[in-house]
Amino acid sequence: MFAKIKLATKLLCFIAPIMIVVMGVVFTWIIKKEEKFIRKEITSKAEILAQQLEIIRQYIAEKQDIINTDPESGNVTFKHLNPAKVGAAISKKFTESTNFVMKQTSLEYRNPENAPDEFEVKMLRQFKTTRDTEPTWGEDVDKEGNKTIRYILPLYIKEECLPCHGKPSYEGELDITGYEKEGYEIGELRGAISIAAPASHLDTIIKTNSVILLIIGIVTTISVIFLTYLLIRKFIRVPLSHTVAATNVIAEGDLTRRVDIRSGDEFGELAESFNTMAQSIEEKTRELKETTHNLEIANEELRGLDKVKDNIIRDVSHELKSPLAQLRLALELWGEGIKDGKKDKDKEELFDGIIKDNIKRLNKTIESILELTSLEFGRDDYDKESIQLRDLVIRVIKSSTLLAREKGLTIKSVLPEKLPNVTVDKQGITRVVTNLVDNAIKYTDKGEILVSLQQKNSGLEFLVKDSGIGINIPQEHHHKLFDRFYQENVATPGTGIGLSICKTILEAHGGKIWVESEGKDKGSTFKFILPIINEKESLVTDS
Amino acid sequence: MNKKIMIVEDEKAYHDLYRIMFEGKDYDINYAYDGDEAMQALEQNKPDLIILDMLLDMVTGDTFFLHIKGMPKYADIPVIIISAFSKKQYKNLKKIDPNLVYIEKTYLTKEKLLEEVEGKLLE
Repeated sequence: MFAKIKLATKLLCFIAPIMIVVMGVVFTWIIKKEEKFIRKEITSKAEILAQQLEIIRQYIAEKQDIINTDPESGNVTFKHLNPAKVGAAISKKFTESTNFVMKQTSLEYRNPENAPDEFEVKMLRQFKTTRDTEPTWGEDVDKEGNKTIRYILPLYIKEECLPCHGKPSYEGELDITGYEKEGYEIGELRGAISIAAPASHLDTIIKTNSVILLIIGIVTTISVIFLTYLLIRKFIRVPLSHTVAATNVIAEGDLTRRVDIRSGDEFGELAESFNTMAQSIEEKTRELKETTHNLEIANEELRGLDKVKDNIIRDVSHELKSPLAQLRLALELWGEGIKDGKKDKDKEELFDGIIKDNIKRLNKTIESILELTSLEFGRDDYDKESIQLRDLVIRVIKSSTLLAREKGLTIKSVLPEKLPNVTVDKQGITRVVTNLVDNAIKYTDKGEILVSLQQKNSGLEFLVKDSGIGINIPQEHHHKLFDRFYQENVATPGTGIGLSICKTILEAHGGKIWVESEGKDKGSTFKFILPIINEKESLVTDS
Repeated sequence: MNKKIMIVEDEKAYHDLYRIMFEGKDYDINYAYDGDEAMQALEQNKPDLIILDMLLDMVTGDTFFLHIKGMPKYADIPVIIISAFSKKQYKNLKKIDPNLVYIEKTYLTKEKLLEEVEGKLLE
């Protein structure tokens, strides 16, 4: 389920708790440190006060003789200015004018005002056993329930204390103040200076500061979350969504789509490699399409060839079956006549004619098949050389002149000199030209036949124009004339293979053959074009 | 009145052979050399039977066949196709007219021709 959450949410799910924990730790540390600092400050104040009182007490103790002795008479009288009394007075005044409580206390107190409270009893007992000279401090609550910091400075018996607190010379000896001497020895705990500093403001400060820190924490966390979101959005989500959108568009088939991110960061790099990939996919797809298209064309051509093959087989079988059927019928009917004993000269002549014609026809068909087969197999064996087509055409016309003259036709030729050479198989092209000229003679009964050559762009065009029977099929079907065994009229002499052979030979030379005719009895013009291969170009190509 | 037969065939030799085969029979035979001629003859004088070749000029035999079968005026004329092409190639023509008789020229004899023609004309 977590995997489905958006990146920003996911990141925040990690960042927010970590931030909260880190800030909690840091803020707690700060508050503790602050508390410690404030406590230390209060303690220092208490310490100074206590030390001050101790010094005053010591000073008073040292100066007792001077205080109590009358400088003029030398009489000694207690002036009520001993350390205990002065200390108590200063403490009282100090306590009254500040919010500090200052007090002298002892487990064995003389003045009831110095009676120790619970905290002091505990501390005094501790000092009594440890004889520790270092002051101690702790926390307590006063009568009103306010938090206070307690500071206890122990007071041990010193030399100057002995006159009042030392061993009595006799039982019940009183000191100068009028109290019985307790019999203390030097170093014994007598009492302590106790200071109670108010600490209720400590909680308030800590509380206030905690609230401030909490607010800072919340604001910081929210800001970080918000900033993280904005940054993720700007630097990650937006470029990422562009890339995702582009990927989707490409997946839907629009391979021209690219990602438009020009930053130098990782997304810039991603966009760049994405675009390179898209470009490569586009090129590969185009290549694939081209290849597929070419394959389709090739497939179509193959299918076409298949059909042509079927048609050839059909036409060949027709060309073999039809004359055979005529032969058989003629022989059957002739035989019947002989059986009946009837002699019909006209009929016999007719049968004789049919038989002879059809044998000729069968012969021709078989020859054509053999010829075509040999041509098919030998189609790569063209022996090409650079020649003047004009010379070749002139030779063909010469050899056909006799045939034309027999039919009373004239052959006119327009053959310009200085035409470029063509690279052809002499035998093959001679066959094409002969076939076209002979056809023109065959299908023309009167008039003239025009043979011409002319340069057309990068090709040499040959044409034979006759005034013969013309072509009686629509122009869009003219190409059928060049299909094998096609004959416009079955009764016409020939097998219909000549033009097909011409086409095969010319195509092997990179040439083309076609026919133009205005219709029946309007003559026809057969044309072919052969490419002129520049000698220099051909050299370049060869090298 | 004699029955009328129209033979549509582009080779003269076949017309000659048909003429000899029908010798002695009382049929009025009309010879047509291509589809156009056949159509004209059809309009002038409706035959009782048509003998049709497949490989004709301009209009091929099957086109001509489909053409007349599509015209109510001539659709009922029985047709015998006699062609050098294999019967298999024209299987679909039989669907148009189940009564169509197709004879391959290779198997054509006088006896077979007369039998089929008489059969058709008796129907």
